[in-house]
Amino acid sequence: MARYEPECADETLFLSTDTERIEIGTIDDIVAAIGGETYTIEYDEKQRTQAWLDTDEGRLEIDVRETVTTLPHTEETVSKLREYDMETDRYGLPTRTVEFTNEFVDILEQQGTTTT
Amino acid sequence: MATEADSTDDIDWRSEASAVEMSRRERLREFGRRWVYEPAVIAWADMRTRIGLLILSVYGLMALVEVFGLWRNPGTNQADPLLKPFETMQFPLGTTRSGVDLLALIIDSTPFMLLMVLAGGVWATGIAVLVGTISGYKGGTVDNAITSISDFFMAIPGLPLVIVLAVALKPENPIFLGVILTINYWAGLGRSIRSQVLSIRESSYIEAARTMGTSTPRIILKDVLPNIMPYVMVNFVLAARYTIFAAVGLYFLGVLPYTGQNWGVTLNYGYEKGGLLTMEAFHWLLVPIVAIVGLTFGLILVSQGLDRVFNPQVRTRLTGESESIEEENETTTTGMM
Amino acid sequence: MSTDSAAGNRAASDEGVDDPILEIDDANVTYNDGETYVLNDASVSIDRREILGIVGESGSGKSMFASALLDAVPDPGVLSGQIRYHRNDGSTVDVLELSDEELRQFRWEEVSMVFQGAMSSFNPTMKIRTHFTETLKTHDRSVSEGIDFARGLLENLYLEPDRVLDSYPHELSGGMQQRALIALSMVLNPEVLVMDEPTAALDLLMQRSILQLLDDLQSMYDLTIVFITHDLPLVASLADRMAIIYAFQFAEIGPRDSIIGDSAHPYTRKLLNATPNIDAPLVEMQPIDGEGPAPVNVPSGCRFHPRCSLATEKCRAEDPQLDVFDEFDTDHRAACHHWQEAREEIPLNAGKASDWYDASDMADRTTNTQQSKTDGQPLLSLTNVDVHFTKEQGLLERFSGDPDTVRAVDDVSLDIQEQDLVCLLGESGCGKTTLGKTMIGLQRPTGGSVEYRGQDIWTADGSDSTISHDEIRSALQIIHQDPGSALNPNRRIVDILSEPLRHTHPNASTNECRSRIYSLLERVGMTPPEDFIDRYPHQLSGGEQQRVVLARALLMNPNAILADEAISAVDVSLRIEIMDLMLELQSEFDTSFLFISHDLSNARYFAEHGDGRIAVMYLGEIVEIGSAERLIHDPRHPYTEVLRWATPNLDLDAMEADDPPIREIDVPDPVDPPSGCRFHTRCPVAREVCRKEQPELQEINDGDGKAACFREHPDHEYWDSEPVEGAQRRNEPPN
Repeated sequence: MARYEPECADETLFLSTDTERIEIGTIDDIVAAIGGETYTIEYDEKQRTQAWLDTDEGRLEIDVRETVTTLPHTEETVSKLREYDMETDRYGLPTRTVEFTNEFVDILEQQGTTTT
Repeated sequence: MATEADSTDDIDWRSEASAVEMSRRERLREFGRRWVYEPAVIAWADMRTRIGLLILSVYGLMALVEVFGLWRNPGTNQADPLLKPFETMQFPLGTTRSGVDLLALIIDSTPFMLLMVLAGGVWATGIAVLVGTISGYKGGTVDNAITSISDFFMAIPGLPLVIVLAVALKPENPIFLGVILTINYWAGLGRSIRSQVLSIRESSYIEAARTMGTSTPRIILKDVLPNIMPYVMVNFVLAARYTIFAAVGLYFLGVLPYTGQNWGVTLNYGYEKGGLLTMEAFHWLLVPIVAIVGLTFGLILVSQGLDRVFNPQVRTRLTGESESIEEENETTTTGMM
Repeated sequence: MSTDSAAGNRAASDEGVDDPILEIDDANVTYNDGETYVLNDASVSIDRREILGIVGESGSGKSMFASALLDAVPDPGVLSGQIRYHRNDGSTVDVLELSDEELRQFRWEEVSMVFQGAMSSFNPTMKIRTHFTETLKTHDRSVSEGIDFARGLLENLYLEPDRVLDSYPHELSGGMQQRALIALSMVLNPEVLVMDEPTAALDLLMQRSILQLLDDLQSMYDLTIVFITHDLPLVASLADRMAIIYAFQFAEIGPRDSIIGDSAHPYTRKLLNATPNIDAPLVEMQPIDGEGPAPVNVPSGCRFHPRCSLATEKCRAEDPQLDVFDEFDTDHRAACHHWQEAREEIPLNAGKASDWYDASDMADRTTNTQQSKTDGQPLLSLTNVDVHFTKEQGLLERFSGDPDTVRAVDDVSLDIQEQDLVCLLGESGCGKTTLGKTMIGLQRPTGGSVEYRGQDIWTADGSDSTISHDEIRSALQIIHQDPGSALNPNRRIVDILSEPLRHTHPNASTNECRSRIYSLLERVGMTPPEDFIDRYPHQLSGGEQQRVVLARALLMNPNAILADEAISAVDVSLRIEIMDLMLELQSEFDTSFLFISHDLSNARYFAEHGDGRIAVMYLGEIVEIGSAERLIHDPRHPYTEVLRWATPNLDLDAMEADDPPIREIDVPDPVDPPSGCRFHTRCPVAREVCRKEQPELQEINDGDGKAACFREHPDHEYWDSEPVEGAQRRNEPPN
C-alpha cells in the first residue's frame, strides 16, 4: 500500500508519494482545527506500564506541529481526503483541512484510555 | 433476574392479559413526577444551579415589582443628586446627578431586558437547532442548501449588520430588538449542532427508529434533540449573554433608539457624566454593571447545572430509582466480552 | 518468608505442578476498605513451560487475576496475599515485596503481559521500531541484538519485519497490531507471558491463527503462558491445564482433559453445555439461568448456588474450598460440595457423537423442506444485487485513473422464504452486514433488485406498486449488534417500546399499549415487567437490553428480522438462552430471520434449530450456501473449510489443531479484490486458472445448497491447471 509522507512548503502541508501530491492546508489552520499546539493522550495504569511509554502520570503530550509534519498516512486516508475540496470553505477552514484533522485526531484517539 | 421464560409458553401474548390499567390520575401523577419533580430535584441538588436560580429569581422579582408597580418610577429630582449607595435606605443604590433613584432605574428596565434576552436566546438557539438538526439529519441536497445559506450569513460581519438594521428599523419592542441583535448568531451555532447531529445520526438507535418507519420530525424530536439538549442549553445561555452585551454595547454607543432609560443607557449616562473619573459618580457606573454581570452570571450557573437534568445516569441516581446496577464498582467490570 | 511454609503450601495448592514458576497464595483484591472483593482467595501454582488457560465470564474477576500477577492492580484496589516467582536459577522473589525499580524490571523481563486495551497502548507518533528500541533501552538491553531477535519474532508471527518495524501503529490492521504487540511483549525474552483476552477484538480466524502461533512460540522460546479469556473452546485447544473463575473465585482447576471431559464443578459443566460448538448435539445445549453476581452482592455460601440446580442448605451456608476432592485425581481441584452429584446429574454434551451425517439423506431432507418452502412466492428476493461504494473524486482524478470502488456486495442473488432462516457467515469486512441491510431495505443497492413479495422495495409507492412502502418498512426489522447503542439512552423502556406500537396500533389507548408491552416483556423473560418499564437503558444488563431490542422489533409484527451479530455482546452463559428465545419467537410470530455472524458455532445453532441455511460470504460474494450439517461435515468451498478450522470445538480428540488450511492470514484489501476467484490468494488448493476465471455459485452434487468453486466440476480445466505458488495439489476430481 502506498504511503503518503507529509511535506511542508510555505507553511502549507502536503501529503505526497512519488507520483502524487495532495494539498492539506496551512499548518496554522491544522493546528487551530486540532485545538492547540499540544494534544494529550491519557493512558490507564496498565497501559502506562509498557516500557515504551515514557509518560508523566500517564499523560503523553504530543507536539501537534511536529507530529502533523512527520506522520505518514495510508492510501485509504488520502483517498477519503480527496473527496473534499480545498476551495469550499465550510467551517471557516478548507473542508479538506478539517477532514484531515478529523482523521488525524482519530489516529491519536485510538491510543490511550477511551474517555467518553 | 430473567427466569422462567418457558412457563409463559401457553399464554397468548397478544391478548391483553395482564391487568396493567393506569388511571388518568396515576398518569397525571406520573407525568408530574417525570417532568416537574425529577428535574427539580436534580437541578436543586447542584450547587451551581441553586445559586444561579437564586440570582435569576432576584431578577424575576424585580420584574414583578415593576409590573405591579411596587417601587417608585424613576424621575428627576426624586432625591438629592449623587447620593452614595446605602447612604440612605430610602434610595438604597444611590441616585444620579439629576437626582434619579438608581434602583428605580434598574427595576424599571428589568422586564424590558429580560424579554429582550429571552427573545434573543430563543431566536438564536431555536433557529440554530432547527437548521442544525435538519441539515445534519437530512444530509444531501437539503444539507448543502442550508449550509450554503448559513455560510452566507456567517460571512456577513455581525456587528455592522446589526448596527445598520438598528439604525434602519429603529426597534423599540424588546422582543424585536432581541431578534435583531442575534440576527445572524444562529449560523455558527447551527453549524456546530449540525456536526453533532451528524454523529448521532449514525447511531444504531436512530437506524432502528428509521427501520420502524418513524417520521423524520419525530426522530429529530425524540431521538436526536434530547442528546444535544445539554449543548443547546449552554448555547442558549451564551446567546442570551451575547444579547445583553450587544444591547448594552449598542445603547452605550447610542446606536439603538431609546425611549426610556435602561441598563445600557444608564451606563452611558454614568460614563458621560464622569463616573469613571470621579469617585462621587462611580456608583452610577457600577450599579448597571453589577446588574448586567449578575444576570449573565446567574444564567451561566443555571446552564451548567442543567446539563445534569438531561443526563439519565444522574437522573436515576439522584431521584433514587435504581440501586441495582448503579452501585457497581466501575473498576471491577473491566472484564469485557 | 520461610521456605518451609512455601513448600507446605505448595502441597496444598497444586499437586500436579512439580516445578512451579509462579505460586499464588491466597491472593485477594479488595475495594472500599476491604468491603468488596473482586478477587477472592486465589491460590494456584503455575508450572514452568505450561499453558494455563483461565476462563471466566465478563466481570468475573479474571482480569484482576492477570493484574495481580504483575502487581498492577488499578487504584484504589488493594492486593494482599503472596505471589512467589521462582527464577530459573532457583532463587525466589515475592512479587508483592518488590521495590518500584525491581517491579519495573520484573514486569516485561520476567513476566510480560498482553492485556485488554493493550492495542491502545502504542504511542501514535512513534514507529513500531521505536517501540522496540525504547523497550530495549529502558531495560538496558543491546538494541541491535534485540532488533534482530524482534525480526525473528515478527517473522514467526507471519509479518514482514521490515515493513512492520517501519510502520506507525495506525498503518497496521488490528490483527497486525496485535501480533506486533505479542512480539513486543516477548522481545525481552520473558519467562512468563500473561495474555488477558488478547484476541477478543479480532476475527475468529485471526484468533485461531494467533493461538496457533502462540503454541509454536511457546515451544520455540520455552515460555510459560497464562491465557485468560471468556471463550472456553478457544483456549481449550491450546491449554495444558485450565482454571475456571466464577464470581471472583476459582471454581475449578485441573488438566485440560479433566476439565473438558470430566469436570466436577456444576458451573464448569453447565458452562460447557451452554457453549455453542459445532460438534455437540444441539438438543443438549442448555443455558445457565440467571447472571453472575456483581462484586457488591456476592451470594453467601457457595457463590454459584443461586444458579445451581444441585444446591442444598449446605451450599447456601458454607463456602466450599477449592481442594482436591478425589484422592486418585490429585491434580484436579474443584470448589463444590456435591461434585459427585454434579458429575452424575449434569451430563456433558461434548464428545457425544453428533447426529450421524449422511449426505444423500441430508440432500433429501433439505430438498423436501426447501421444496415446501419454495412453493409460494419468496418473502424477499435478491437478484444480482451489487452494493458498490464509489468514492467521489477530486478534479485531478476525474481525468486520470480508475475510480476507487469498494465492492461491499457483488452480484449476490438469494431468496428468502416466509418463515425462513438464513445465517450470513464471514470475516469482518466481507460485506455481510451491508448485504443484510440491503435485504431489509436500509441500504440501497447500486445494482440488481430487492423484492419483497414480488414488489421491488425501492420502487414501492410508485404507480404500479402492489405493496406500499410503509407496509414494507414495518415488515422488515433489525436487531443491532450492541444493544447498548441500539437504545436511546434518554428514553425509558416504556417509551422505547411504545414507539413501534404507534406504527402498528395507531389507535390503541395508552392502557392497551401498556398491556401489550407488559405481556411481551414477560414473554422475553423480563419479569416482573413493572420493574423494568420505567428504567433507562443504562440500568439494564447487556442481556436485558438485548431482550428489549428484540421486543421492540417484535412489536412491529415484522415478517423478517435482521439480527446483526445480535448475541456477541451477551455473556457466554446467556447466549444459548437468547438464541433459543429468538428461535421460539420466530415460530410464534411467523417471521423470517436473517442472522449475521462471524462464528460458525453460533450460526450452526441457529441454522440447525431453525431448519435454515448458512450462507458463507467472502469479499462481497456468497461462496457457499447450505444446511449447517452439510457445511460442517462436508464443506465444499475451501473457505468454508477455513472457517470450520477457525471454529474451536470441545471434542478432545479433535482438539489439537493443525496448521490453518490457508496461505495468507490477512484478508486482501477490498478496494482491490483479487482477480478471478477472490479467494485464490489465500486458498490452499488454488491453481493458475483460479487467478483468471471466476467460479459461479452452482448447485452441488450429492448434497444440498450451492458452492462457488471449480473443484465442484470434475471436468473443469482446474484439474489440469498448475497449483499457484505455495498451494498444494490436493485430490483429483471426484468420480
